[in-house]
Amino acid sequence: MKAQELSQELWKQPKRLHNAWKMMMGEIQPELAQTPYEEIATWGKARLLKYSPKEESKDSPILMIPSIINKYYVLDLRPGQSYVEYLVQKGQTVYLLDWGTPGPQDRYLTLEDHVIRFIGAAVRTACKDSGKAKVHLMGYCIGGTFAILYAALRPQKVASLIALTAPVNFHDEGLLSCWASSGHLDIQKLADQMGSIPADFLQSSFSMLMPMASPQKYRNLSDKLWDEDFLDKFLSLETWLNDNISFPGATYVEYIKRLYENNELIKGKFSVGKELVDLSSISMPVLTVTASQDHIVPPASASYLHETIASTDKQLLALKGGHIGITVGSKAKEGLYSHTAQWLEKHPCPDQRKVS
Amino acid sequence: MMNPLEFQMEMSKKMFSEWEKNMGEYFDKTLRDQGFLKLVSQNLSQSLDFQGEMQKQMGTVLKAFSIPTEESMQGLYKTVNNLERRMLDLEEKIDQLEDTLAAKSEAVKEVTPKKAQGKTE
Repeated sequence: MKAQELSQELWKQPKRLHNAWKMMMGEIQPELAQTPYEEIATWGKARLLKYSPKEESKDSPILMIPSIINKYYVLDLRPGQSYVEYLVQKGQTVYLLDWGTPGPQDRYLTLEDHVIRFIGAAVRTACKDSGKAKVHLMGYCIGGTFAILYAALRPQKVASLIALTAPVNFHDEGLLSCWASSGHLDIQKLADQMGSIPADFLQSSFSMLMPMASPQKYRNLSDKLWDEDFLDKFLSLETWLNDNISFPGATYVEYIKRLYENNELIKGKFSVGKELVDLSSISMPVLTVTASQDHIVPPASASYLHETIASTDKQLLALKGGHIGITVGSKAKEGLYSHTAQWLEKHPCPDQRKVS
Repeated sequence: MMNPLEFQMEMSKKMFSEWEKNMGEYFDKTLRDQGFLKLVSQNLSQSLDFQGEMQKQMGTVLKAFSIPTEESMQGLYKTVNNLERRMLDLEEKIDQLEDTLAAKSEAVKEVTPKKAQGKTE
C-alpha cells in the first residue's frame, strides 16, 4: 500500500465511525418519494397519484402499476434516482396506482378486482384526466403481470404496454418457481388462516432467495460507509426493501396456485374472473424489459411475452443488472429511464372523443 | 511485490469471497431440497392449525360476551368488497356507454355534412 493510499484510508476511518454512529442513532433519514403529486382518485385502499410536468405536458401520459407486495415509491425512490421524476422532467404526465397497504378487510380481494376493477378504474380516470383516448400502461414485477392481463382483456384504452421484469412463464430455474411447484405448501390453508399474507412472511421468503446477499451488502456498506452519498442511496433502498406490505389472501391463492404452480398463463388456460386470457391477442405496441441478473423474475420468464404476442411494433430491452437495480441503480437513467422516454415520444396518445 | 500487510488483506478478501460462494451454494442446494421443503411446510401447517384452534376458542369466548368475532367481521368484509365490486363494474359500464355515444355522435357529425351536400346537389 502506497503512502498516499494509506493516508486516504486513514482519512476515511473517522468518517466511517462518525457515519456508523449517526446511522445507529437514526440521525440519517433518507428523503423518499419527493416528486410532487396530487391524489386524484381512491378505490378502497388504492389511490391514483398524478405527477405533472412543470411546463406543458407532452402527448404520452403513462400509468404506472407497481408490484403489489412492495410500496409504490420504488418508482420514485429519491431525487436523482427516480423513474417518475425523470419522465416528469422530460415533460410526460405520470399517473401511478398506489395499491395502499392491505389490511384484514382486504383478504377477499381477488385478482379480478386488482386487474379489471382497480387497474380499469385507474386507466379510465387517467384517460379522462389527461383528455386522451388511451394511455400508456407500465407494470413492474407482479404489477407487470397484472398490466399484461389488463392489456389482453381491455386493450381499448391502452396506447402501449411496457412490461418491466414482469413474470409470464412461471416455470423457470428460479427458487420461487421451485418452491411453488413443489406442492408441499398448502397455499389455501395459509390464506384461510392468515387472511392477507403478512408482509413479514413475504419478506423472509424473498430474503431466502439470496441468503448471502445480506453479508455481501453489509461488507460493501462497511467499505463505503465514509461516503455520505452512498449511505443515503443505501438507506433509501433499505428503507424501501424493508417496507413490505401484505398480499390479499384470495389474490395470493390465485397467483401462486394458478400461475406459479400450474403455469396457466402460457398454456392459455388462465382466466381473470370468467374471461380467458389469450396473450397472442395482444396487438398494441409492447416494450418488454428484462434484467440480466434478475433472481426474482429470470429474463426467460419475462421475455416470454415478447415471443408470444401478436404486436408488430414490439421491442425487447435486455438490460444489465438485477430486478431492482435496473429501476433504481446508478445506470437506470441511461438504461430504463431514457429508453422509456424515447418509447413514449415515439408513441403519442390520441385525444379523447367527446359526446356533443 | 506485495508487502505483508497487503498480502494479508488480499488473502482475507479471497477467503471471505470463497466462504460466501460456498455458503451461497450450500443454501441454494438446501432450499431446493424436497425433504427440507416438506419439513418447513409441515411446520408451517402445524402452526397454522394451532393458530386456527386458538381463534376458534377465542371466538367462543367473544360470542359469550356478544362481541363481534373474526367470523362476523369476515362477513362484513365480504359485503363491503361486494359493494365496491358492483360500484366499479357500474363505473366501467357507464364509461363504455359514454364511449359508444361519443363514437356515434362523431359518426353522425361525419354523415350530416355529406347529406347536406347531397341535398344541395
